[in-house]
Amino acid sequence: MIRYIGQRLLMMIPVILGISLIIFSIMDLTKGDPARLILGEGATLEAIEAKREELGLNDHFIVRYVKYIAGVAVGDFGRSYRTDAPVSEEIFSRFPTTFYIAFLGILFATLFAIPAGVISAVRQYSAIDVITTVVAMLLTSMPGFFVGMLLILVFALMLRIFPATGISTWKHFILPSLSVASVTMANFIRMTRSTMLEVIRQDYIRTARAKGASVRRVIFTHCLRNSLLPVVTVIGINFGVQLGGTIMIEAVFAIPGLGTYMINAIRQKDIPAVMGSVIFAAIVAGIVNLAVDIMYAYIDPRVKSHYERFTKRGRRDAGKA
Amino acid sequence: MREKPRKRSQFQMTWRRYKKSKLAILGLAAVAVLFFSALIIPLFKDYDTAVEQDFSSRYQPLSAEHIFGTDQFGRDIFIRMMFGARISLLVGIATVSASLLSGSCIGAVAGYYGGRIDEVLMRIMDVFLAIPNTLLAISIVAALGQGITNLLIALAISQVPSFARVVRASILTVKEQDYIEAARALGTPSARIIARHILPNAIGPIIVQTTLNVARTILNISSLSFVGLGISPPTPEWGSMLADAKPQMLQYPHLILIPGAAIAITVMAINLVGDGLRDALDPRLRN
Amino acid sequence: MNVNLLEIEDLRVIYKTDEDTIYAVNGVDMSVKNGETMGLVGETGAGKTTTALAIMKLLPERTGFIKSGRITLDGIDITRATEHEMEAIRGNTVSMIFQDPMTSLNPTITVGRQIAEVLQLHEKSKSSSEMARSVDEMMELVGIPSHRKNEYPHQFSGGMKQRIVIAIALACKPKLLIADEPTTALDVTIQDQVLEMMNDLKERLGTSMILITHDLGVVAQTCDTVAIMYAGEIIERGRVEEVFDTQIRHPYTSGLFGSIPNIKVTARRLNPIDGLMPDPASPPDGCGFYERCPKKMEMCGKKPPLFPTEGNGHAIRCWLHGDCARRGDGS
Repeated sequence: MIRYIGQRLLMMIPVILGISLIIFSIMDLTKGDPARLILGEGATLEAIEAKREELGLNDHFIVRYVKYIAGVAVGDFGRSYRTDAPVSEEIFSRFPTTFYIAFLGILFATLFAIPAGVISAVRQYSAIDVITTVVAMLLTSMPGFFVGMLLILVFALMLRIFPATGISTWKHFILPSLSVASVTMANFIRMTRSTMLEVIRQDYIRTARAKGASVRRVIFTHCLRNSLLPVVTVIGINFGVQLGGTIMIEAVFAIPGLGTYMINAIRQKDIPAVMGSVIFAAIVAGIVNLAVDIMYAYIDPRVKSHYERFTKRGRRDAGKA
Repeated sequence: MREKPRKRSQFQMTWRRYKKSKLAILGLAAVAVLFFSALIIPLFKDYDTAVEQDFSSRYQPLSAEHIFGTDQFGRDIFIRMMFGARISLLVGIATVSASLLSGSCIGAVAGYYGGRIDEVLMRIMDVFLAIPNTLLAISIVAALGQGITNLLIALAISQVPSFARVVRASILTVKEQDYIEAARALGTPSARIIARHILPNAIGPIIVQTTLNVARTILNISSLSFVGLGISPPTPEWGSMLADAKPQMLQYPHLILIPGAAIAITVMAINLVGDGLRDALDPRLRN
Repeated sequence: MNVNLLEIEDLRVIYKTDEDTIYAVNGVDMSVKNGETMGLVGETGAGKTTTALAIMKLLPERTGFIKSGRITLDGIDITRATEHEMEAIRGNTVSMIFQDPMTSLNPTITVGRQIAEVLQLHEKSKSSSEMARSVDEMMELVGIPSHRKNEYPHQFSGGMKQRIVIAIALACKPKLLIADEPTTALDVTIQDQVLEMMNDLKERLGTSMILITHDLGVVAQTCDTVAIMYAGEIIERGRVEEVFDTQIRHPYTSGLFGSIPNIKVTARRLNPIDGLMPDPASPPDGCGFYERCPKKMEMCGKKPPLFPTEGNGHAIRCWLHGDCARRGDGS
């Protein structure tokens, strides 16, 4: 298993390199001279030229990219053009907030969506099923930031239960997390419902019924686990999407997280900050996906034995070498 | 020999199955109304009425003259909503067409030829997919600068991988089918196999993905405009209208409720059509 | 012990879909005695599996319905039993083996636990160690080393999976075992082994069996009686030796026998039955086999032939034979 994890982490490297190359190229196309941005409008041409030299902006694209990657490899994401602080520090101070919101959002979504999806599949075509389906449909159709605004309007401005902006106490986390949860929840409900329905139609469910197991027992011992497997993968994949979606939510609630940092960086052409946050987000998403895949192995014996084979083969290969 | 009558009946069967879902019909009707009104609104109202500010009539309530009232700059909200629909649908469809075209080409080449080409193309797509969609679009907009065209390019690029994947996957499944093997064994040329057998059978998932992507794009347009990276004011775009109205939302909740509802209704209608099409095109997937 | 364990009278099953109603089983009468094996033969879509599912009361919810008729199993009328009563009957009095062993086992539960489940459901008084011993016994009985009980279905071959399915079905020593084409999905070489083992176990446990198949060779090898189904009806039944060693047959049965290649006779070509079964959504007025029958007469298309329900002898549902022929002449 450890060997498998190691191999998966190694496989992440080309993906991260690809992402960084794409973002690096995009940022390179961006109009405007970072040196001029740093020094302001009144700077002399000589000062700008000196700054460009200092930042290494006069080097060839490839040279700059390689230098940057070499830095990243040792944990150096460069310094922000705006604040001159190390990007890695700025990211680490903001990331926990974003992570908590995304994580809580997924948690809320899962806690609500799995029971809802299961009930609506088991009682297919019933009133509960119709209501759940319509709610899910409505939630997928509303942008997360609009859900956030509605939550602010009702719970912060009208009822005054939760604060509208900022992040300091646990109360500040509730509304943003719920906004993040809304879209995800709809996806999870639909996914749970459809996989559950698919599993219910499987032959082995009929076998279990033929043994004399009650519908309830069949659902709990045979259906749930098998239908949650695909849902687990979707939860993992959604985490990456969440990190993107949190950007809008942070804007609505004026939260100083990674999303706000990224948007400001993009607006101000702070290339090291943009690069750093994107690469960081990609690494986190990759690690979460890996964690989910490992979890998957523990629930699905078929996948587990696949991993074991994988590892054994690896060991054999290592033995040969 | 029996090709022609079969084709027609296949369309009829799809339509017959589609008709059965009330929600799908509702969605189709809503989409039709939206399209129609977005199409004809310039015949009745000048675009200028949607952007010109009139401080003498700010924050007017809902009335016969202004169905949805007026906003903080005294502009008629109903007219702005209509022009907003025009923008969302236009950009949405243009974006998806562009990404559909390029994505399909990449996916078809990868799926049909397989091997090294497939490997390289799909790895590149994987890298794009690893970047959260919104994030990719935001960085591209940042690089190219604001504006409708740049937004369109950014959103289109960020959707190419999803189309490439769907097209590749459906071509792969169809390619493996026995009847394709049979056609190949009979010596049918590959161009004919692609045109006659693979494309018609792969078209279902592609149509569904297209519809759902239009809905997603409309959401993305409004999201990007909301954070000020998409279509900027005074252009009547739903997302930027929401951003404008945010500070006064307690006093004038209809300023956020109307554009929000417009987005939700449009996206939902398109999603309903997409779901209906999926069920109608592939009854096996039906729940 | 000449008592009928299972008795089915005038069973009718329909499937209601969005578009139309499918008449899947149209008045089936049959009976199985204690310890007897009945072969239920017919082509795909004849209604064999539907009949079996009706006995289990496991017809697809919301689409499959028992429209009329009576199924008496071990003295209980199944058609009137509640779901709760059925739960006590399934797996205990009657078990069913499904066609495809590849998909009949839950992929995420060990085979040992899947065998144990049926014991937990019906033999609640057993202690867990007794239960574990029973699982081991069952596994050994079907020829799988009991130390493999902690493995998952994907670790077994198709033939072994079917053995496990059989172990599950027989774990509570049911009175009736319904086997729906238990060997169709298996390799030819394994088919015989599995069949032989089933036969052997059935003898040992004194179980009656309904063997659904389209293989007449298998029927000759293993069954006491045979019923031939066509378009939702039983068109011929009798003891195997009577049906097999006679020239008096339903034209459809003759067709079935005609489509088996025989190496002893140098036939110039095989004689498959031409045509298709009638559309089950709109059953014909007369005999169901009318369209395809080589010996059809005018009256066959108008009136459905009668079927002698009394007695256990060889019966044929055809205007050409027996009571039918006589009554047909008289009218």
